[in-house]
Amino acid sequence: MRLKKKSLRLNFEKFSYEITNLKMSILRIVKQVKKEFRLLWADKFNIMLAIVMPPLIIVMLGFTMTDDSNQMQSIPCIVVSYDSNTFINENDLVESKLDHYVIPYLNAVNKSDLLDLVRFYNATEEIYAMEQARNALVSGSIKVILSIPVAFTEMLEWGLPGLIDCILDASNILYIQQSLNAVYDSIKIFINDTNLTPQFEVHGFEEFTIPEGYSSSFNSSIVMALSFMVFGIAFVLSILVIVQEKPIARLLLTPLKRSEILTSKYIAYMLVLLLQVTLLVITSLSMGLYLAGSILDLFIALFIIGFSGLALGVFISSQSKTKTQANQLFLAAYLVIILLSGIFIPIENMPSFLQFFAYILPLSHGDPMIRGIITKGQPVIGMHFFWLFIISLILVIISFVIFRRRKYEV
Amino acid sequence: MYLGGLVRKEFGRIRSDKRTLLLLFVIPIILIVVFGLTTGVGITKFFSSAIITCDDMPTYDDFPNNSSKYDDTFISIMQYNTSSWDLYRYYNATNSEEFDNAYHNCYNFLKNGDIHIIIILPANFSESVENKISPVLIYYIDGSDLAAITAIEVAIQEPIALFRAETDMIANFTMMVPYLEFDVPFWESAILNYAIPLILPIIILGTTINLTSLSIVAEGPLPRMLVTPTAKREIILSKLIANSVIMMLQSTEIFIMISFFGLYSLGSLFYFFLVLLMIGFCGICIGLFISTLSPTEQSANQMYLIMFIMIILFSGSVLPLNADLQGVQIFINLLPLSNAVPLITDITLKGLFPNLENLFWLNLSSLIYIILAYIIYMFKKLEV
Repeated sequence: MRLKKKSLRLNFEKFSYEITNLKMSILRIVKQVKKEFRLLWADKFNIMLAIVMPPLIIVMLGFTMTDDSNQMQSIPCIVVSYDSNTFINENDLVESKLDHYVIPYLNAVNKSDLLDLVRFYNATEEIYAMEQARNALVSGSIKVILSIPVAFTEMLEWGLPGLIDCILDASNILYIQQSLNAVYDSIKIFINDTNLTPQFEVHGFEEFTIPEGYSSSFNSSIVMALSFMVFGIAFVLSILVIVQEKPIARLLLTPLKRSEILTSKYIAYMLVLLLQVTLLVITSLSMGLYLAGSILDLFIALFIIGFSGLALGVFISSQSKTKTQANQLFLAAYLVIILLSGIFIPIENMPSFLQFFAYILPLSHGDPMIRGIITKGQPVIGMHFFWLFIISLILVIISFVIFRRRKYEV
Repeated sequence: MYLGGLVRKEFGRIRSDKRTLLLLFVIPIILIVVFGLTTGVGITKFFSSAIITCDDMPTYDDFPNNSSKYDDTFISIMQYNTSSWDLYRYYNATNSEEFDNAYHNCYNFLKNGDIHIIIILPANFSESVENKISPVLIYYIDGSDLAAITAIEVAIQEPIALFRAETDMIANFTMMVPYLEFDVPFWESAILNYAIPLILPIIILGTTINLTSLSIVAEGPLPRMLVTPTAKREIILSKLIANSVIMMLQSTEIFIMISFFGLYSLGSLFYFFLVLLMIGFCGICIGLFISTLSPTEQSANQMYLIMFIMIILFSGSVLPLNADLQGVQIFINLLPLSNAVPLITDITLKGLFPNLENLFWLNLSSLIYIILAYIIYMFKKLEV
């Protein structure tokens, strides 16, 4: 009985000792966090850049993006018609010069909002029509040459497909599809106006569309901009946190533990990230962001993206011996991360080994996660979230291990 | 003579940081090799679909003879014959309850991004084909993907054309036959060559801005140098010269590497090299501007990143911008990427002489950044 009491008392003493230790530890961390904020505040220009610039970029995006810029810009084109030339039927050698579908097609091109007819050439009268059109394509004054072949009207008259040759400027990959869409629009108008039946009627409905009154190009652009900025700024803000702090060695003479130093740094920079994300969400919503999901989901998604940047930054800082080394690693990591994030080259077009590598990188998950929340109302918790969380956790653990084992000359 | 000494000192400073130098030359090699190995064809948009056929449902009114002969033909074409489509799943709905279940599943596929489109073949699909009445196709697409909305409507014409040929419905049929001018030939690395106009300037700007953004702010003995007869303009000029020489070496290395790794260029390689140098020079001027403006190394890093993000976002090459707005065009022109991309595209894919307007803006922006750097440095207070 007495032994039992003694053991209970010992346990209680041990427990109260642990509690006191924990209290002391929390107190030290709180003080250290305050010190971190004082350090941050000392460089006001730096903190201003981190807090003010991201929302400012969103505001600039809001002003420079309009729906017109993405959808309604008409593609300059030249139509060259060979339809008035003599067509000789290979089967019966009968000659024909039918061309009565040319004018309806030209009218359709004029009617289309997506095409801007710069010039029409009748190749029967102007033998260098195609050369002139090609020169215009080379100079960049037009983006498409629409060539109506010699048998266009004849084919339609005989119940065969009428083909329009479409020569596109493919030097800019972004505009190939846009040009094809514009030409297809003119064909649709042509078919409707000339009442060519039977046709396939394609009735399209859009799901997850951005409602009227919201700028669709701003909404689709902000997805990339948000993940890009939150990750990048959290990353760059933290690359020097350990490596540049001179009093760390002296701090180690105090009762402050290494884990407490690093925890306080994480807490301080997470609070900065929290403020940054809050400002970004508020600015985006006030600039006309259409959010199908919840604000909380968007907030958590941005926070986890930023946290992965923060974890990577602290990791680099903890294992760099000098500021220069930290800067070098930052540059190398950042260039690789943005170039393999899928923004410039779709990840699915990369070879499999590179795809594997790209999916490990945090920014490859930011874009699809935010897009899902903003446009489809998906919840934040999903594969991308867990992946970012795991990457961040691994980086945090490694940076703690490195920092604990690091030698400082006191 | 005096300037020569300063430049030599600057070289010594850069050379002492061997790791940065190494990184400056190694990063472009790694990235070019990696993208050079990415040889897939990247310009054809590949769409994934789910089809719900209601063709087995009975039809009335204009279609007394029930038929479900043609839906399988269309599904088979979507599954095997098209170049830009992939059939993810198809459902045969014989009553409204089955249709609701199928639609619910497809909606979730669309929501999760597994498919781009739900195609519904209505109950009278085969009957319309048999009776030569315009058949109707209903589709639901992911409206959040701005680029895909119209692209899908065009891409759906491919299986329709194949279906028409299969079912002998070729009368009154008009379609376009696309030919791509100035595209990358199929035997060349398409992804690398389409990416070169964007990726090369990003690599060059990223590394050169980083090289110089700390050159003033991180230099300790700078205030002490001002005690000597050295003028501020000499200090900034020596930094500009020394960093430009490093940049020239880096651009030469990039030029040689990209030539080995499948550069397809219709135009003059000399102009191509010249443009790379101009881009690099602009990067150095921006870096010096950042370095003079920033009070600490951390803020120089922060400014570097923000500048880099702005260069990419507002270049007009990644996001579509409304250049008609007053002031926006000038702002875009002062960012180097907006001029670098068309300059490289014109040379490599079109074989043209570099566009003079782009050349003017690229060099003007370099001049503006270096003048600003000089002015800021002149007024900067340094404690000696």
